[in-house]
Amino acid sequence: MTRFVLKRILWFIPTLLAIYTISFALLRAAPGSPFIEERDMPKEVREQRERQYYLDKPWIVQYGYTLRDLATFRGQMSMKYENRNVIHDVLAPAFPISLGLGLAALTLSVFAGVLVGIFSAVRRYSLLDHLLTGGALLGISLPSFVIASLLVMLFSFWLGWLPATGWGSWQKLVLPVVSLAAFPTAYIARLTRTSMLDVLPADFMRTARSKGLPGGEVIVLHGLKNAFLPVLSYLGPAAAGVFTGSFVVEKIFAIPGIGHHFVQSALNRDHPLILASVMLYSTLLLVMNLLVDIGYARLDPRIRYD
Amino acid sequence: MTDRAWRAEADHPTAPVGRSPLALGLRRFRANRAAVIGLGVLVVVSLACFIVAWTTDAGEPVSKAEDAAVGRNHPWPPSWRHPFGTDTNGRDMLLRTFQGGAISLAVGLSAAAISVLIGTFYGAVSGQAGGAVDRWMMRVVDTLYGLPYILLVILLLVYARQQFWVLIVAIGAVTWLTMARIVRGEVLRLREQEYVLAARALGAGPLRILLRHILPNLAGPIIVCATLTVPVAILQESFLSFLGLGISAPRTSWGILASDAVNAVNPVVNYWWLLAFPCLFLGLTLLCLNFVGDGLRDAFDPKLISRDT
Repeated sequence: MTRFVLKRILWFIPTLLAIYTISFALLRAAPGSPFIEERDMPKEVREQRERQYYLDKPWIVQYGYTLRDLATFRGQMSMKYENRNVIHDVLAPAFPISLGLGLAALTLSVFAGVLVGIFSAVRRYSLLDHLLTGGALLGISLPSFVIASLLVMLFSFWLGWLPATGWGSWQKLVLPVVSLAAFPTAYIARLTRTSMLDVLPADFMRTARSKGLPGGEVIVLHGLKNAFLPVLSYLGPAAAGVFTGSFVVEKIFAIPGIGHHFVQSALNRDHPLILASVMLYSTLLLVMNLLVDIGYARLDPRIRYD
Repeated sequence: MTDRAWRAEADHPTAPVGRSPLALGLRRFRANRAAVIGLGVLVVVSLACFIVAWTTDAGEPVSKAEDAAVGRNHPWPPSWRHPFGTDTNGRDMLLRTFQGGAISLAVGLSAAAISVLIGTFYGAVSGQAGGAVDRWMMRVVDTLYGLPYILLVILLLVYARQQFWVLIVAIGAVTWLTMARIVRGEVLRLREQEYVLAARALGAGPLRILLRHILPNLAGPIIVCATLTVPVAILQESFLSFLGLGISAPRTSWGILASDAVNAVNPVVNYWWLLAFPCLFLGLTLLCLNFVGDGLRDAFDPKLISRDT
C-alpha cells in the first residue's frame, strides 16, 4: 500500500508538468502582449514589466524561470493587482475559504445523497421514492446559479432567515454550501439508489436477515458497504465539479475565495495568477483522487494495488 | 431472409420477423410517459427558439415613443404587450429569452456532436487495439477524469479571445470521456462475439470489422450517451457564460441572461422577471433532455441501467 501511494505521488510530477506545459503554451501563444490594453504605458515601464515576467527572454527560458517560481512557491507579482504576489498575497489567504466551502459541500452531498439513495431504494416505487427520484433529477438538471438564485430569493429576501452574501459566520455558509452540494447530492442519490437496488436482493443480505440481525443494520453494514463503491469512485469527479463549481457560487455570494480570483484573472488575462491557480486546482484534485483511491482499497479487500 | 431479420429472430426467437431491436426500443420508449412528454416539450421549446432567432434581430429595443407614452423607465414588468417584461435596455424579454435559447441549444447540440465523434473514435480504437495500447489509452482517460477540465476550456477561451466556435470545440473536447469508456467497453464485449469471430475467420480486416460489424451494433449506447451529453454541454456553456467567459455580446444565451439578471434581484430592486424566465426555460430544457436521455437508456440498453446512473 505504501509503495502504491508513493508511486502515485511520483506520478503527480509528470501529470503536473504536463498541465503546466499545456497552460504555459496556451498563454504564451495567445495573441498580443498581456499589457496590450494599457496603451498609455511608457516604453520603459513596459520593458521593465516585460523583464519582470521574463517576456524579453526566449520562450524556453521563460518556461524554466516561471516553473522555478511556481515550484519554489516564490510566486510572481500579479499583472493586474498592484503590488500583490500571486501566491503569497492572492491565493494563500483565499485558499482556506474555497477549500472549506468545497469540503463542506462534498461532506454534505455524501451524507445527504447516500441517505436519500437508501430511502428510495428500500421503499422502491413508493410515493417517497418518486418524490426523491424526481428531486434528484431536478438536482442534476438545474445549474447551480439557478438553484442559488432560488435559495436567495426564498430564504434571504422573502423569509429573511439567512444573509444573501458574504463570508465569516455559519449563517453565511448555509446557502453557498447547499447550492454547491445540490448537483453531487443528486448524483450520489441516483448512484446509491441504483447500486442498493442491485445489492438488496443478494443472497448475503437474505442470510444476514435470516440470522436475525435488525433490518437497519443489515442495510447499512452489509448493503451499503457494498453499494458505496460506485459513490466512492464518483468522489474524484465530484471534487473536480465542486471546486470548479465554486467559481459561480463564489460570484453569486461574493465569497473571497480562489474561484473568484481565477475567473477575474482569466477575464483580465493576468497570466501569473492564471498559471498559479491552475496549478493549485490541479494539485488539489490530484490529492483528492489519491485519497479516494486509498479509501477504495480500504473498503474493497479484493483490490490490491501492488 | 435478410441479414437484419435473421439477426432479430436470433435475438428473440419468439418475436415475429421484421421487428428490429430499433423498433422494439422505440416501442419501449413510447411507453415511457415522462420521456415522451419531455420530448414534446423539447420540440416545442427548440422550435420557438430557432424560429424567433431566425426571424428577429438580436434585441431591438421598444420604440422611444412607446416608452414616453407609458411614462416609465425600463425594465418593465410583464404585461400583455411584453409577456416576459423588458430588460434594462428596453428589449423584449420574450424575444431575448428565445434568442438566448437558440444559442444555448446550438452550442449544446454541436458540442455534443463533437464529443460523440471524439469519444466513439477514441473508445473504438482503444477497444479494438486491446492490450497495452488499450491500457494506456484508458489510463489517460482515468487521469483526465479527475482533472479540472473546465480550467482547460477557460485557458482555451483566454487563448482564443472567447470566439464562438472555440467555445463549442472546447466543450466538445472535454466531455467525451464517458462516451469513450462506454464505447470501449462495448467494443471489448462485441469483438469476442461469434459473428465477429466469423467475420475475422472470413478474412475481414480490423477496420472493416469495426466499421461494418461492431459500430452498427453500438448505435443504442451511442444514441443514449449522446442525448445525455447535450444537457452536460448546455450546463457547461451556461456556466462559462454566467462567469462572463463564454458567449460575448451582442449574442446572448440563457447563462448570460441569468448572469445579467442576478444583480437586478435584491431587496432594493426586484426585477424578478429578468431572472425567472431565462432560468425557467433553461431548467425546463435540461430537465426534459434528462427525461428523454433516461427514457432512451431504459428503452435501448437495459444493461446500462446497472452500470451507470
